[in-house]
Amino acid sequence: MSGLDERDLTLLPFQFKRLDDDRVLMTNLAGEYAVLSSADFARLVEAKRPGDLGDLYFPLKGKQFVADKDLDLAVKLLAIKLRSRKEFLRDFTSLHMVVVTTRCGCNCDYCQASSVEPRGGGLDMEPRAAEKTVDLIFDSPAPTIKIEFQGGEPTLNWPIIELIVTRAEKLNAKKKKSLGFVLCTNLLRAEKKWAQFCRAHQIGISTSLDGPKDLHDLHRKSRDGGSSHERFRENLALYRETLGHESCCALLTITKDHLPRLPEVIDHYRELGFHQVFLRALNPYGNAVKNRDSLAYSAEDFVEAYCRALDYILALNLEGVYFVENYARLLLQRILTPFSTGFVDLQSPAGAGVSGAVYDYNGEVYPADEGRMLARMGDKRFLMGDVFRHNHREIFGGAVIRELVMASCVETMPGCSDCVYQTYCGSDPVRYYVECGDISGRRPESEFCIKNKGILDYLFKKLLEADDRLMDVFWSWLMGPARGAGSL
Amino acid sequence: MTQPGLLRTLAPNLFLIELSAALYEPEAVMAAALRCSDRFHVKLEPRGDMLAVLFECRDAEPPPDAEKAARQMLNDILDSQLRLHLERRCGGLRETIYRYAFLPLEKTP
Repeated sequence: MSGLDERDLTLLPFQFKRLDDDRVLMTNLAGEYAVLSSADFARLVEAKRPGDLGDLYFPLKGKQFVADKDLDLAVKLLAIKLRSRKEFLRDFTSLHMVVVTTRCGCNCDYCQASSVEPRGGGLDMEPRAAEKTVDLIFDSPAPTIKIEFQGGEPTLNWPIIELIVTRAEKLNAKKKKSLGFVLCTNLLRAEKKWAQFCRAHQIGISTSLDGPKDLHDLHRKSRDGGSSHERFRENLALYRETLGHESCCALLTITKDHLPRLPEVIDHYRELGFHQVFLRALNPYGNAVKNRDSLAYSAEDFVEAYCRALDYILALNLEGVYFVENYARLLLQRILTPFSTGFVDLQSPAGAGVSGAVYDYNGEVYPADEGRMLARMGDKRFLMGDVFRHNHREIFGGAVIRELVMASCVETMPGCSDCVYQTYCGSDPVRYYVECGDISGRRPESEFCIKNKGILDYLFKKLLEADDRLMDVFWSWLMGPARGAGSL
Repeated sequence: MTQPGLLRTLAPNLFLIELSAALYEPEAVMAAALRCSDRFHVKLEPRGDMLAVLFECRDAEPPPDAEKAARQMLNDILDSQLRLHLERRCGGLRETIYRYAFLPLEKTP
């Protein structure tokens, strides 16, 4: 190291956190991480020359925690990596969620969409609103457009789905964007011709599965009193038969009743042929607030249950069963790779409006479904505009989205700006507003923050165990299963 | 209830830390105080050359580990102060990195 002793050492920006009495976790803008002993960490912050760092020097330089005479190169490298991580900003709004009706055959205890009786009137998207919505979507500069049909239960207004798909494909013949569709359905009803339409237009199916029959039916209540789980299974089979087995993915909403039964839920997912699950916490909106006493739990209880469930899933994978937990996969992609991830709910600035937008049945545009939900409850704070009166620039360059962006950069937010997990995390201003009446939020009491920190603590604990077989599992989640692996 | 040492327990739910204002900056103390504000109400008060930090448990019945949590605040303040020092050394670079990252590609140096 003698030659290096002559050079000045520059510390590059990083965040840190003490893991315990003797270990310090460091992360930087590029998402690189390193763990030092407390003594080595003290050596680092006092170092003036590369030689002061001994054997630590090259590993820390390789991850852009320090630089010497090549400072300019290190700064440019960090800038390039940061640019890659913020790639989602360049694409701008690519996810467009269209609420074609608020009618629904289910009356879920935790419904956040304020759904109403299937036979109700006046809550369906009209053809003119649908056309205006598609036209506005195609004004987006995004090279990729994904249109998600939501509700209520969107299939209750099937003609409008066909209208939107047809019009979008027609417009795209000129625009040449990468266009995709997703139908979010509870699978309470399905028809062969719908499945055939989905196949013809490559529409993916996103559905909800809360576990075995008793658990699924407990909170996903069919308005006609029948078992929603039985019809789910029948209609899942119909779509799979027409579209292929992998065409359907399912989301889980975790209530208090799920916390002790997550392994059972995971087994049920496997039994129905799913290879992945998203362990998703309850959101504090709509019926979930009304039914808080019977559904809700603390963020700490969620993290504990999540970690136990993830241990169960990891054990399955170590036995050769390929099964993915999607939230962990998302975070691992941010920790282990330099790539941008398109998850609207965990971005900085927030994905609300920037990456995704919601078009209500009446033409109103919101940055997120939660903003629409608040409007339904009488608070139109997040209304960005409507498709009849405003153009793309007015809606997506307006005051609401500017305020959201300004207030949702974790790099500058109190409690986030010095957080070691800043690079991997994001913010949710609409949720903060619901939690404490302020879009900037308060991190110490924020369930969003407690949950994400808890899960990241757990993932880093696993990563630092440096178990080769476990790392193989994590990489298989990012790269896909090895040929012939597990039960695929 | 007063006792010598780094932390003074003024009541079962009330603690006091006094810090030298020459060594600790209010910004560092405030950042650390924010982090524990889910458990304590925190008040900062200048007292001559010292900075007093008063913590009162938010729960009427103080949790059994309240004193330990308040004591942990001492190390959190130290880390916050270190973050401020690091920010002074690296903050300019952080701004340069962000500026480069968000430049149009053709203007990237």
